[in-house]
Amino acid sequence: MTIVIGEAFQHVERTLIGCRPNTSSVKPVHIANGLFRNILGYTTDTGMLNRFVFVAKKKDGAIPSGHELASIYGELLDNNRLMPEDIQESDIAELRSFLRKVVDADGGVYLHSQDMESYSAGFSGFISRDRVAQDGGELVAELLRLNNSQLYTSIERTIESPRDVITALSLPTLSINQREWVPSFDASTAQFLNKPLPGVPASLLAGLLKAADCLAEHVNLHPNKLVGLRTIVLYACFVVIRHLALLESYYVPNAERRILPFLLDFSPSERHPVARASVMTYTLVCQSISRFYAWALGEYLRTNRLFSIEALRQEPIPAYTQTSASSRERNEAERREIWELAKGESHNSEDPYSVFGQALHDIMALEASGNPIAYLRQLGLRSGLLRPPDNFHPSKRFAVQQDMLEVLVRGAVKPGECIDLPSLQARFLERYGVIIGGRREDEANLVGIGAYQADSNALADNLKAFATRLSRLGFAKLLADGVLRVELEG
Amino acid sequence: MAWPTRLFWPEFAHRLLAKVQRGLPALSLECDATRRLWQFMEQLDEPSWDFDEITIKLLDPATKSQLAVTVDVESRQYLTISKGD
Repeated sequence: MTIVIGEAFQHVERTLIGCRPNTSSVKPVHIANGLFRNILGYTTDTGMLNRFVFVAKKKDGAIPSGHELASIYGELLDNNRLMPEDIQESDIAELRSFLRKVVDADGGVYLHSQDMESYSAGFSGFISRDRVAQDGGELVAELLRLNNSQLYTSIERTIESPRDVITALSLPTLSINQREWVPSFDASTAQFLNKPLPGVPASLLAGLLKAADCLAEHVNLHPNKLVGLRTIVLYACFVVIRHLALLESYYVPNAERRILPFLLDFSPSERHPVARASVMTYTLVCQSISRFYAWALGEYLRTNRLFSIEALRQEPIPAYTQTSASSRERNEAERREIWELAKGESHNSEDPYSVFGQALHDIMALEASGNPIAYLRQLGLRSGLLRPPDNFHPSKRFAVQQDMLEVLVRGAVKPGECIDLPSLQARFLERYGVIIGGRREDEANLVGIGAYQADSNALADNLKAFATRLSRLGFAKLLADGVLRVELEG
Repeated sequence: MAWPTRLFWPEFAHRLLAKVQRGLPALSLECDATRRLWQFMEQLDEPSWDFDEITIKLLDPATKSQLAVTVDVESRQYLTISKGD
């Protein structure tokens, strides 16, 4: 019997992770669509909007059937969605071009027939059945729902309101017909949502939910609905990334106290010790995810497939999918080498199942363009948590863009609240597992996980740069006695 | 007001002019100071929803073209679409 790697991964995703981090195409717009549709419990027919904004295929300029200008104009006319005496076909052509740029700002709009369209907008009429990379957002919705988060009700109320300019601009192309939506992936069955977690990761998860409630207060007060939703989506992206970085501590024995912090880098150069230490914390997170998969796939082999170690040592090279099990696959030599090495190593390992689990993970990384680490990297880059964005630097660091920093601060400080900088740092650690430096325990924390690059002076500089950034954002004021006061207006 | 509105005008103006000198369109800038300006505008750009008709003015920063679209939000109908100001 050949082991099918795809089935093993699906089992791990369904029972342990609660989403499928298996594509490097993930974007915040996908997380948003998944989050919103899970909360609403339905999608909407976005066919007319898609015909309106999808003018032609990028590849060859071909116009899909039904997307011709005359058809669009006729469709709007037939549905009484325009004033024919005042609007000509050429006006609609102009508007189509503009509207495409607005709702495709994140590059998530594809042909409706492919079920791969997510729109950069914030109203139920834009919620589609996109099947790509949606389940990360669906998982965050599930987490908020199960914990009765205030943010859940904020999203529900906001997303059902048509009062924003993008919705007003698109309103004649939107349908009011709701479509029943059943998630293809049931996030609610993941063990971490249903069983008690070890104390340390449980408290960080509780911290993330505390941040959600704090964020909800800001969102409810802000006059601009779209700004509020953008804040929520970035928060959801952070939660997905933090969740992946916690998997090892949720499940793997003896790892429950190992919370890997994200060191936020505010240093001026990528060669600065803090930048290098931040790269190390990112690398450690990636290694943690690999260790989790090795363990989880090993457990799959141990418990679900009833493989004995002796039987595994006789197994042929695992196949990627059931259909490819009998055919020759790409990278056969590399796959064979990985598998044979695992067989040899299993003789000397205390946990031979994890050795075979690691081999399955390595073969998957070889075969699939999208793997959990690539997923985390892309989502981190696109949501403004990681830098640099180019492919020349495979090692990323936690260097937040302004939008993401605002979200983290708003999740830590309530509207009208006033705290000092050490208190903000304590909340960052408690709610996000994020450190900045400048406190003795930060340096000890970094040394404890093996990130030695930044000494206390370098970390103190990082804290100063962070304080300057907060001041520039209008979130902090330096008082006459030298104390920095963090304050968000209420 | 819920969100801070303070702008650092000297820094913003300095950075903006430096970028403009290099030919970058002002609206595609991403520096901290510009984002502060966007935040300020985001608080102001919420239209009044007390009317059935709303006019939305669009500016494409890449092509500089403009479009004004009037929508009847009750009947979900485009009323007028006009180029320019």
